[in-house]
Amino acid sequence: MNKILSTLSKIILNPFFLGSLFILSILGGGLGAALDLGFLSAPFAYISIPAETLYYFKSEGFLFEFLNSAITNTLLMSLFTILTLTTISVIATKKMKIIPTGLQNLIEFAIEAMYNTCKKIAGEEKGKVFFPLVMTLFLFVVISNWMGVLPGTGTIGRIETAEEYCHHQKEENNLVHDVEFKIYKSNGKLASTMFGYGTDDYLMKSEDEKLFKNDDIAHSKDSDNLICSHHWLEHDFADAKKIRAEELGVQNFDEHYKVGILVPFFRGTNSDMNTTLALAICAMVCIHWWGFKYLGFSGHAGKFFNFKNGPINFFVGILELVGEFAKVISFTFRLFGNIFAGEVLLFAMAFLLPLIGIIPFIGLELFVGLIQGLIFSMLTLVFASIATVEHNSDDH
Amino acid sequence: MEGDILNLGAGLAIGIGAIGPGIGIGLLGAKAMEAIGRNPEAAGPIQTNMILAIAFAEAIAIYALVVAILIKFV
Repeated sequence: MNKILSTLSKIILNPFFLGSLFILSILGGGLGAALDLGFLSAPFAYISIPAETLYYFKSEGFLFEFLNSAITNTLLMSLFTILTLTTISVIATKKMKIIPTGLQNLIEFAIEAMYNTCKKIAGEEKGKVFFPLVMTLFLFVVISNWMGVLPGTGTIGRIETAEEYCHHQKEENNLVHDVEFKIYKSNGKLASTMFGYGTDDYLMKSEDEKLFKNDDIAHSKDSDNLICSHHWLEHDFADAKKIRAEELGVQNFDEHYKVGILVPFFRGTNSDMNTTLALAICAMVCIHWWGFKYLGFSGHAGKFFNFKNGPINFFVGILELVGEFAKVISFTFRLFGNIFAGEVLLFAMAFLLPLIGIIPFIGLELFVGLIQGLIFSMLTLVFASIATVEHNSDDH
Repeated sequence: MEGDILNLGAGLAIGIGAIGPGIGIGLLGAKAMEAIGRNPEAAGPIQTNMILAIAFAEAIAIYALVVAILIKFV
């Protein structure tokens, strides 16, 4: 076994092997597609900022209006994160020993390190109070970030066709005012269609490549490349497709222009702004709760509505109030931006350099995930310890 | 044409927006290194504070990124 492994690692670490793999990935990837190669390249993934919906709830009745929601792939991922954390903690604490070994040791190390940091930054007494929230945020953010890098997240899913999409939008949201449905020519590899409702544009990928093999027109959203366009409200979808098929001179529209977007089953939890906003709001509510608890109502509210020390301090107080909302926004966008940008980076690298291009960036994403979790929890801790300290103690 | 200008705008938004945070993070890193060099025992707290300060500087780059994403996709 060891012999096989060592031979394998020798082959993999061989400069010639690595070099040829690199050249192969450059030629076969998105860069090679410009030279009519690109034999390994996949279509560039459609990047959607809102989380893709897997299942819609539709409930009747006034009381159940709030149940009219959707299960998104990021929600599913966050549930799996919670499940993972629960499982790990149950396994780690099942057979507790005085001298910890294995998993229990690891968990104890992590918890102890964070506990000591809390006590160091916020003080002995407050650190104990702040620790549960800080540790929870840290564990949730880090584990969900790392699960977002797992192979299969964002890549395995089902194809949602244009009809399904329109149907969902019409049924669930009643938001379809004017869906425009367009098909564009592309650079021989793939055709893309775009259809939007409201201000959103949805780019869809054709599974049929043959039709466009001879078209070497660069993929763009220019009107020159438009070969099909119709408005949803003009006709029923099926009628419109029949008409387009006749105009394009093909027998069956679906056979030639089978389109859809990939809806992944799993997607990194924090690449959904709803999750990060929820975490940020939870953190800020707790921080202000502690502020009121330690300083009393007038003590904490007095920082923001300061009527005592003249107009300048009043405006400083109002600015601080605005700053509290800015904290929520910066919490939200810092985590969302980092994780979402990481996902787009992985997509882009998998497109440009298939096979090997993604490997160093997975390492980078693991690091970024850890650092973002650390930053989120540390900032919560620091803001909490600032909020529980009397601000204007120095002006008499 | 419109799409081209949108792409240019998105590129410029993140490109120009990343200059300031880049300089800021560089300064923070340099000063933290200097501090650790002067006082190696204080490396732990310096690192924690440096990462926190970098997070604040980086937040501005993230705002630029969000603007770029909004220009490009919305």
